[in-house]
Amino acid sequence: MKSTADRPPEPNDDADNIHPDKWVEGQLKSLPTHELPAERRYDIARRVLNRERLAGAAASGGRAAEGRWIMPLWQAAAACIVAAILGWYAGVSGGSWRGNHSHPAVAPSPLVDAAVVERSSARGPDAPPVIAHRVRFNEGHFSGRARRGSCEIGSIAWRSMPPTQWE
Amino acid sequence: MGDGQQDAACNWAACFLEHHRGLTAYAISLVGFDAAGDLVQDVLLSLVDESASLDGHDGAVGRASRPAPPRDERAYLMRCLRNRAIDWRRRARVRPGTTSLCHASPALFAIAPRDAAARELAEAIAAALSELSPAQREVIVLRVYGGLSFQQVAEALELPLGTVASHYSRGTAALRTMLEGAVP
Repeated sequence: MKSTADRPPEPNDDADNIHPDKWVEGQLKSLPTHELPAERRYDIARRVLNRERLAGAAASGGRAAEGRWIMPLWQAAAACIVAAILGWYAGVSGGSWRGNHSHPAVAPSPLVDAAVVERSSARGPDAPPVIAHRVRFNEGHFSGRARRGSCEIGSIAWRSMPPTQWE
Repeated sequence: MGDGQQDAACNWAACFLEHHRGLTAYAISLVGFDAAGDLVQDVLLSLVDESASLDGHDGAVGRASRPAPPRDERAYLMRCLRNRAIDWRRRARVRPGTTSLCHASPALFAIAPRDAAARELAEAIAAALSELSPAQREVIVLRVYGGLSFQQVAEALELPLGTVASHYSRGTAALRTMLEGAVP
């Protein structure tokens, strides 16, 4: 006879000897509960993301002040020389680094680093809003990386950069 | 900002957007409809500040004393909502024991103004929930309206699973008796 520990785990933890009262739960759930309006939800998500960005900037500033990330002088000089050579090469080969998107070495930078996405094809049309990172605009489509993999973005409810930088 | 930091931060925002219904319902039962959004926002921003302050002191000592990440984000958020609601009550000088922390009112439900039948049902449900002991009510609110599993309820309330099961079964038995007569 197998002991309790030998049994495979149940698919959900509601099965561990507690039986939900379906009738009572059904009665309690028969009315919808209030939820925050969509604008308020996006506002909260935006505030959380902005707060994190500020906290991250403060933390990196603190680290620099501690001297852990200060580049030695000779390394800075070497980096300047390399940058100058690369800049000269880019000018000679016809186009600036930022403007020449046909240059194979230049990858388009992300348009925004985070956005609240209303719908994404990966999660279905009825899925709740998600946060996407590194949102790009390529060949007429927004795409980004959501928490559970990449996603094609249907519409963007909020973005983390001002519209002037967005277009 | 490093990717790790950004992902950690966005977890809270994404977690909120994913579970906002349950979080809002529990927040309404704790502080009422008008303050529910403020409570949720306050908790999320505090979590960001807390993780940022831990990252800022991430030396050997900081790393050793850093608390383990929550096993279940949803249960952890509910626990934070509860603790913050207790803080708010203390600040408002509500004496402990005078009113229960988690209460049930018809304001929990989104009802059309002219839907008299729904309003009657909401009042019946709220009245039945109000008859329960505070512990039974909180377990049932977290389970039914918060959408948590029993294990998550136990984590959120920091109670043993057996205690949660006991509160749940006694609470639902009492509700069954009350609602069978009240609900058509």
